[in-house]
Amino acid sequence: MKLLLRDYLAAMRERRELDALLPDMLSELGFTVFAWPQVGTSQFGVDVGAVSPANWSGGRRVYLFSIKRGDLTRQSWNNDTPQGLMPSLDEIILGYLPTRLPAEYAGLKVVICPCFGGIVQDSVSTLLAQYTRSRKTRKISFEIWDGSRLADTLLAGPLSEELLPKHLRKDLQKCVAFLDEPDVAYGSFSRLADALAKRAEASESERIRAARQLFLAVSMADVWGREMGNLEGPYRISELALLHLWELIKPLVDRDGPANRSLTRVLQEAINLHLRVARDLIDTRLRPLAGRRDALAAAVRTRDAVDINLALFETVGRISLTALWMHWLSQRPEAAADVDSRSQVEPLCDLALTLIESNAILDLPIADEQNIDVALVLFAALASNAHADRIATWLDRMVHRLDFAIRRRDLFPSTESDYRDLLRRREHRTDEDFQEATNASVLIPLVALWAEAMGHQAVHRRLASLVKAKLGHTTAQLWLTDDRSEASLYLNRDSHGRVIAGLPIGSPDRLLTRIVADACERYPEFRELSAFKTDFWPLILSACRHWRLPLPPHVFIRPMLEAVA
Amino acid sequence: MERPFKPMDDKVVAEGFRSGELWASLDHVALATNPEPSVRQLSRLHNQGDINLFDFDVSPIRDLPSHRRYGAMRLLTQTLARVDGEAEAILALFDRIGSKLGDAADYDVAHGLRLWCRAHSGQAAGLVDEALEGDARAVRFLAPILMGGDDLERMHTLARSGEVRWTEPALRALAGTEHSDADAVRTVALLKDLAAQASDDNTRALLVKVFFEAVVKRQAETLETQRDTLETLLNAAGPETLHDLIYGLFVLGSPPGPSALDLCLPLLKRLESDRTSTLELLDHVLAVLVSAGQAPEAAEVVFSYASRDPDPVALSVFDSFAHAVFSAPPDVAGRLLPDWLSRGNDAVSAGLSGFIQGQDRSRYPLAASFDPNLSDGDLYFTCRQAIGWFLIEEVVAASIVVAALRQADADLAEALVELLVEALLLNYDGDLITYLNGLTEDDPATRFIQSAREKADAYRAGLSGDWVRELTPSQSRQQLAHNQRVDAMRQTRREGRKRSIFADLVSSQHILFTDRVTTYWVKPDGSFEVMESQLEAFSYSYEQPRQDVLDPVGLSMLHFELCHARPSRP
Repeated sequence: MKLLLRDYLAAMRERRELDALLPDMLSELGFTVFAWPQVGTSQFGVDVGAVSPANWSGGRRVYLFSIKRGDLTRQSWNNDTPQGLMPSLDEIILGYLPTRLPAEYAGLKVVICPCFGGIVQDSVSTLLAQYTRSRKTRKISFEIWDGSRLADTLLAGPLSEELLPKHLRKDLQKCVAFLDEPDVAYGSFSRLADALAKRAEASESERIRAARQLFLAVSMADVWGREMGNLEGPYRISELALLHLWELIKPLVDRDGPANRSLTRVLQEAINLHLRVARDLIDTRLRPLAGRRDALAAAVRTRDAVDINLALFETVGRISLTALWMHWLSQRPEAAADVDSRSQVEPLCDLALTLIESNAILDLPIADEQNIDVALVLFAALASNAHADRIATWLDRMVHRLDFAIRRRDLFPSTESDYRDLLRRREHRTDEDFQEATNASVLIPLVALWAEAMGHQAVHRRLASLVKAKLGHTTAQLWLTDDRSEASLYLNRDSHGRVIAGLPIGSPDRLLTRIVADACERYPEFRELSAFKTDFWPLILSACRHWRLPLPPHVFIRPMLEAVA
Repeated sequence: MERPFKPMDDKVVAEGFRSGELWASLDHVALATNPEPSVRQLSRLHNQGDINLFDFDVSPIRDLPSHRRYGAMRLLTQTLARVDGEAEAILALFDRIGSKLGDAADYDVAHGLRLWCRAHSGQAAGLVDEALEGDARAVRFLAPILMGGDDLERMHTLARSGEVRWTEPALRALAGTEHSDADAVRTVALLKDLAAQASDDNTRALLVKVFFEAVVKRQAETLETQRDTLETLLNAAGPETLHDLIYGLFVLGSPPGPSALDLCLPLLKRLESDRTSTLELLDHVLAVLVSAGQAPEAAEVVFSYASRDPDPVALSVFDSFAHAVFSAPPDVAGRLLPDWLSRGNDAVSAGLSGFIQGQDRSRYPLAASFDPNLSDGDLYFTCRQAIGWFLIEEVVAASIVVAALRQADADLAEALVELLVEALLLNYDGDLITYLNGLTEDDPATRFIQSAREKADAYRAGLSGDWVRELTPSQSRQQLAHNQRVDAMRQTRREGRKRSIFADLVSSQHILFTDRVTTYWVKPDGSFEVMESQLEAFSYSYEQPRQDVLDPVGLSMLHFELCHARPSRP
């Protein structure tokens, strides 16, 4: 386990990884953290500041951490920039201690800790020793927190035998080891998360601990996934972790206090981590393929179009959801200064649409349940407010293909979601098979709703004519949350929600839009969802996407109608 | 190859004959090639009184599989021909055999009786008399009796009698009787007279049959010289007459002369779609026409059937014709396929893919040429059809487009290049590229092909190299998909075996290892016969269109559009 942790720590990046992990780890060990990593403001070399508990070896002392990634090399020791370790340590001594140390800790001895995930390389060890010897005083001492020390600390703290029993450690190890087989890794993580959630029920402190352990596990999966060159596991795991974390924070959501603050901090770090994984995936894997015809489809490397269709719709759904998270992040008060997230929304929407335009397989889903991905693209495009024409063209192509596929009874979106059934989709179908595979649809009313609301009359008419001619037996429906959803939505515990069935496709006077708008008013439980009330609404989208539930129209009906107006 | 006769003990044969077990124990292969020793043995046993050929149970012969029954009947009829006996008894025996064995034995019964009558001509004449006096059995077997008696005069007399019960057997006998030159002249005169009087299709059919089998077969040129006779005979020809005309042409084995062909061609298009056995004969006749350089005429006949609405005849029926087309000089297929495609008949075009595959020509370019009167629009349409219907015979499709590019102006060429790229070059990398690489510098199509290749190369370059591991299906899904492919292939193989004509004829062995097999046969004397075989691998592969994986709906739409849409201009 220690070896695993050392490798994990060595591979961590400085920004938002090691510095995100360290405060939680210190808190778990009983430290009082008073300085948190910040972006854009001068911290005089201190990334994390904390006071050790009285029972810590050496008693209560101020610990000031300067964090660097990987091994400490001659380059990272002093590279003539403020990012070097030696300048940071000088800044702590010359700048932070005289001016920034909180007054209540002024009387305590100070331990300055160069902190890095890897080791001190030979070439710099003498320099470091000389430096610490020369700067050491009666009040100031130095401790090296390298990968080995951090691993020991983790094993003594949040991953200790009593806090993380053997069988859970095994799940964690298996999750990390099988990241190249994401289904297996996800299964192990899921078991771990469920077990932690169960333990969290005992007390608030257990709840916080479980959240930190969960975050630590996700963080490990992220780092290892990156090392393996496969981010699929980290993406799915970090998304599931968000939903678990929300379940942990939910009981405290209306209460202000240290527990809420601690959990919120973990949640925010987890959101950051999830979005970082998503952006890594998008920027390093997907964006290079944008605009090259069929390049993304070919990159799936399969012999079956079903795999491509499923993977690509999932992909554009993820990109769009990331755009929506960025949109949310850019509007958060704590992220006001983070211009980065705001500026990413439009390019992400553009990327999703560019991928759609350059991979024609994205013009028609193969399973009705892919309506969630379609809805995310539409909603994200609405949020970016700049792609109406491209959306109209996409819907036009989708309905054109749907019409063809239904009339030919080949490759149409089916209610089947089992992979085996989808693989058999091109085998001979009887009338009965066809009717069964098309007996219900969320996709069709979703497309009809958007086409109707956005005034794409030709698309709407064609869809109406198709439904009238060939899909009279199909129950057109949309899914809404209900009073059971708050308990079940995030972790998909039980059946919940309500379906508005028998929706009219092609009726005049925007009847479909009016019915959906009315239903959203008539059934307001959506607005009672904790994530909505506390303005963490993207969590609802993540839950829907993760558990393959349709996007409730509450999410988009108002902005959609406002955009039309 | 003749199999050596293995003598059987007289006692065993006699006991087997009496018990009925003899027929199943006969070496049917030896009987098919050399029945004489068995015929001698059986007739000797009959003449010795060890067996009675006029009184035995026919049922065991009826119960034999068809190929064994053929051998048994051959032995029986040839033996009976050598056996003396009362004509009455012979008639009774053949009557009994006929009624036991049913319609399937009609030929054997008639053949056997004919042999007996030929060997006993005096008694045969008596049987004819009995028939004319009203003996029901003799009437029933009158045709083979007349044939066996070889009395042309009597056949003519009966044929002119005006009574169907005499006319029909007389004409049948005439058809099966060898004619001298003088006989042929007389029979032609008879046919002309009877044709003028014939009021039903069956009689006309018989007249045609006599014409071909008694007159034309002995001297093929007669068909051309007696064209007027044929015209008279074919006047108001119905389905039976058409059948006998086609059968006559089939037996002829060479094409009729030009004026007879002119007469026959319109009639050859008039068969009803459900006359499958006649259509098969017609297929052979048309194949002969193609081989004799009359492909356009034959093709018109085939097209008329394949485009018939309703009830089109599947092109697969004309397998021999297809074989002849692709065996003829390359320009024959090269003209025929574009010509049919240009007509835009879905039923015909849809069958062309199988037409090509059936002849194993999918990977070979066509030496395509077009009707010089085709407009640019028609040429473009023909190429769209070619690509649509030959989407999985990409080399054939491309060769038609290349031929069109050779005579296209700039606008048309641009449209054709677009077609070539979108439908073919984006989909295929193998044989298609090899074919296009083989075009010479001085080929007028080459510069257009170059531009198409550049576009396709840019597309391929965009696809290559990148693998996004995150998008790859999980191992469990890959395994599922693999299992399903294996199941599908297994099913296809089973279906293939079911449809194979060889499956019923051969016994099969399944070898688990290696490619060299030794099989032991134990001979009757207990010694071994060892057969060693070297097995050869057989496989079939094809290149799946890339878009079938990357964008199957798009490909399906493109395919549909190319096959069924008719844009007026490129």
